[in-house]
Parts: sequence; C-alpha cells; structure tokens
Amino acid sequence: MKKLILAFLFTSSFAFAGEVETVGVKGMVCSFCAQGITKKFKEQPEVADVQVSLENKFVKLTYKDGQKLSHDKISTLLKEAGYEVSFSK
Amino acid sequence: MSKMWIWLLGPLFLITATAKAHPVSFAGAFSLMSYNKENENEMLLTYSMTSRLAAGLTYLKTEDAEYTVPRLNFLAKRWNNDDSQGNIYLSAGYGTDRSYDEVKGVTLASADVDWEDRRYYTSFQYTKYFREDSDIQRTDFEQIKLRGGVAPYLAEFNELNTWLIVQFEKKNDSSIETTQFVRLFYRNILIEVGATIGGGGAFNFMSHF
Repeated sequence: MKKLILAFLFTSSFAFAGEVETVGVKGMVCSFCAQGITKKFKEQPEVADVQVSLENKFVKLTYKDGQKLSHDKISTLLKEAGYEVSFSK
Repeated sequence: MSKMWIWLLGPLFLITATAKAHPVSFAGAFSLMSYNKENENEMLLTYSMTSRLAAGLTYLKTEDAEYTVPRLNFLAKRWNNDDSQGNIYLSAGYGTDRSYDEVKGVTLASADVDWEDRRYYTSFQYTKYFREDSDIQRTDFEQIKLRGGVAPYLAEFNELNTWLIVQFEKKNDSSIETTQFVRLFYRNILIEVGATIGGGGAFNFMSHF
C-alpha cells in the first residue's frame, strides 16, 4: 500500500509539473507592485503558480502542463499592471 | 476623536481581505486609503479602469468643513527603472463642501509626484479645494505634503516591510507640521502609525484588491 501511495505521488508530480519561466520586471519595488503583478498572472488559465522576488526583480511563472503564455501576452499583462518587462533578466 | 477612528478603520479592516495604494493602481483594482489625525480624517476609494486612469471618491473632514468629491485620477508619467520607480499623478473632481451650515460646490485639483526604490522613498503632494463663493470665512483649502522615508532592512514580498517616514505638511497659512511615521507593509496591507512633533497622533491605512 505504501509503495502504491509513493508511486501515485511520484507520477502525479510529473502530471502537474509544467514549464517554468522567469521574467524580469522593471519598476517593481514594493509589495503593492508585487501584489498587482501576482494577481494579473494568477488570473491566466495557463498559469499554475506565480512567485515574485522583489530583491531580484523577477516573476517566476509555473505553467500548467503543456501550456505557456506568449512573450507579447506577458508584456501586455505587465503593462496592464503598470510595469515593463526587463529583457536584461 | 477615538470614536471617529473606530468608525473609520473598523469597516476597512473587514473589507480589505486583499488590496493597493497610489491614486491609480493596476487595471481592475480597487484601492482604499485612509488618512487620520486629530481634527482631520480623509478616505479615498478608487477603481482603476486601466493602469493609467482611475475613478474615485474622496471624503475629507477637516476642523470646519466636509468635502465629498467624486474624482478622476490620471497617471501622467511613470518611470519604470530596473531598481526604482517614479510617478506623476494628476487628479481633478467636483463635489460638495459642507461648512458653516451650508452646502456648496467645490472643485478639487491635485498633483502627486513620487519616487522610490526598495531602500528610499520620497513624495510630494499638492491638493487644492476651490470653494464656490470663497471669501474670508470660506477660503479655498490648500494642502501640501512632502515625505521622505527609509527602509531599515530590505524584505521580500511575503515578509513584513518596515519604513521610517518623516512628513512635512502645510495647510493654508498654518505653520509646517512635522509628523514621524512607522510604516508596516505586508503584501497588500499598509499601515502607518505616527506622531506629530506637537504630540498629536496619526494613523494611515492603504490597501488594494
């Protein structure tokens, strides 16, 4: 039984693992900025998880399996939040 | 005064499970800001249609007047730098001025300029309420605020951010009032607890959701 549970957990971790993308953000300096950006990306059906680093000024997007946002869409979402993509990241 | 704080702040804490500040926030965001000190309470609720334009409602109660003003806030310019951000906001509105047992029209004009990085913060705000039939008793209400702040340590989004802030404020022909604040900032909730040099208390709250 224990082996069955472990096998299930092992296979499900692959089933939910999507591509991860890190995007640099210009102008993101405070928690309110991070909050707005997080909310914008979490509303997207392709996105499974969003993590923001104020120190490193990036947003890490974990996609649902087989899905991804285009770079144009990422730029648009950041613009709607009031920020810009930093291509230096 | 203490009762007024309870009435103003109690509902805010209930409403704001999530939230943001600045006169304009991200598209689709509501923002709630409340500034309170002795003999003065202000509340501003905004809804950002885009990341550049927001509709809002200001309620300001001073010692001798109450202003209720629907307004539009516009982000005129934003500088998104790698490590900092600067903004110029312009606001205008028209509403009511209740004072001396009379209700008259009032026009609001305001400009906000700010710059901040993760360590330092500075802002300048100029607001003027142009009263209809302004005279010696009913003069236009003018407010100037200059603020500077420093974060004693740098914290991440999911950690408690702390700032030490000094504010200089001048209203009409009064002398400059200096207030020191401790700002506590966690995710989308920001509170500022302060004291003026003269000994009065101050409490500000901001959130967006």
